[in-house]
Amino acid sequence: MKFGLVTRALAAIATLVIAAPLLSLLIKVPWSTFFMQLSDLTAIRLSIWTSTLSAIFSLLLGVPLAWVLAKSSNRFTNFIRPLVLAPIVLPPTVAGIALISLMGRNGLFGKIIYQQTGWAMPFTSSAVVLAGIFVGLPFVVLICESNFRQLPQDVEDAAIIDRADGNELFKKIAIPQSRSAIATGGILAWARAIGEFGATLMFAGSLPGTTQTWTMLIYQELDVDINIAYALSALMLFIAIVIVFSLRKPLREALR
Amino acid sequence: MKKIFLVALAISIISSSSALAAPQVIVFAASSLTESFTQVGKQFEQSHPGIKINFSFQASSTLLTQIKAGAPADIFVSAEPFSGGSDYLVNRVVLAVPKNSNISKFSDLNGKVTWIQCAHEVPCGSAADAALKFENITTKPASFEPKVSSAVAKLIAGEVDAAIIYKTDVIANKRLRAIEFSNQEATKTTYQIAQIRKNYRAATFLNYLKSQKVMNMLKSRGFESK
Repeated sequence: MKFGLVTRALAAIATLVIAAPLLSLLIKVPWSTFFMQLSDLTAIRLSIWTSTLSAIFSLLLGVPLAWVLAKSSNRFTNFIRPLVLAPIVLPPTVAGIALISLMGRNGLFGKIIYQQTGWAMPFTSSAVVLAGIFVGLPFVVLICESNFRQLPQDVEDAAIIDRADGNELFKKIAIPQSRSAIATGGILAWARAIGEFGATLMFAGSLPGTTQTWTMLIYQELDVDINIAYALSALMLFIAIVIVFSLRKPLREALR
Repeated sequence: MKKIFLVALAISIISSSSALAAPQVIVFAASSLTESFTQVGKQFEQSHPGIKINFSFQASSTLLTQIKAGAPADIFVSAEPFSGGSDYLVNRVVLAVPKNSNISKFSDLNGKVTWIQCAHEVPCGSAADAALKFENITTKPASFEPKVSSAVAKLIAGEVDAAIIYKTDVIANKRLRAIEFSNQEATKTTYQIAQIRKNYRAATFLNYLKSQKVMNMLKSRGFESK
């Protein structure tokens, strides 16, 4: 196909808008001392295990929800469907305030827990995990619902003729046929959780080893040693690039 | 396609020309100055029609990074010393608690109390570190907040029992009360000011910021003169 000059120019600018800052980041990283800058892995370790837990919970909860949304259409599910996607477009700070208003020790639900047990969620690693679920779950629902809708109808019909009930359809037909979409949703949820900053800052705070995540440390290191911030950012960029390139195909298929 | 271009062109021309039409002074100021300086700016604009004051309030270190990267600041007021700055104001950290709190002294933090402070890297955190050395506290903070405003927010939301924040934050918030540290010298943070770009308007506003009138207003909000 032949493209017009304007189209080509705009496409080139669009590519640059994304690629140029990322490339400049890589140039600024002090590569000779890269691993020295990353001497303390506490925050990275915390981010990896909390976001992995967030992704697991997002899958456990998100896949069944996606199935329900894909297979039913009534006033209730039509309302739920867009609602569960809200965190994708919600500013993270707002997400943090929303989580505090529910799970804070003064929150709607958190207050009851606090009064009964003396335990409050803010400032604990579980707050980091919950914030990760809140922002990651929508991606699982988005990808999996779209995929469940695309499953070939004749396979389902054949299973129904063989007297499969809804539960068996889900477990034996839908899930095995959607492995790639489920994995994609899980990885996106993981990536979103590990990149989470605003909601975590509001809801979990920042305590080294407990709630000071990778992104929180990047923000903090900007005040101290920008080289450490560059190194931490570059490592995160590397993960992001690995993810987007490995998801190229499954993502396109899932969102067809 | 052409239409979109023309619209975009028109918007960019209008927005840039309006910026030229109203002479402005761009002030980068520490976030702890947000309320006070917003008011100072309004007063200045009233008495100096034709000059607009635009503020960017952020953590001082963030602002400094931006200025070094070429951000268009005319005046910079930092909550910590920077090269080229001269002393401007003094603020102090205190232990802040809700008005109805049972906490009345520092040793009360040694009970079952959730308290937070700012991170060591920011001025309110380093002052807290220094002042805490003179108190006998065995518990650890639940969080080292990256900026003072997030510490204040959590205290007001009731998620913590106490927070080490600026005295000026306590005065600005009627629901809070302050418990003073025993070593007052250690609680000090010194604000510095500098004119970054040389122009007449910026110089006028800089003088205004240093005027007795503004100083008195800042003092009523809990700041001290250098």
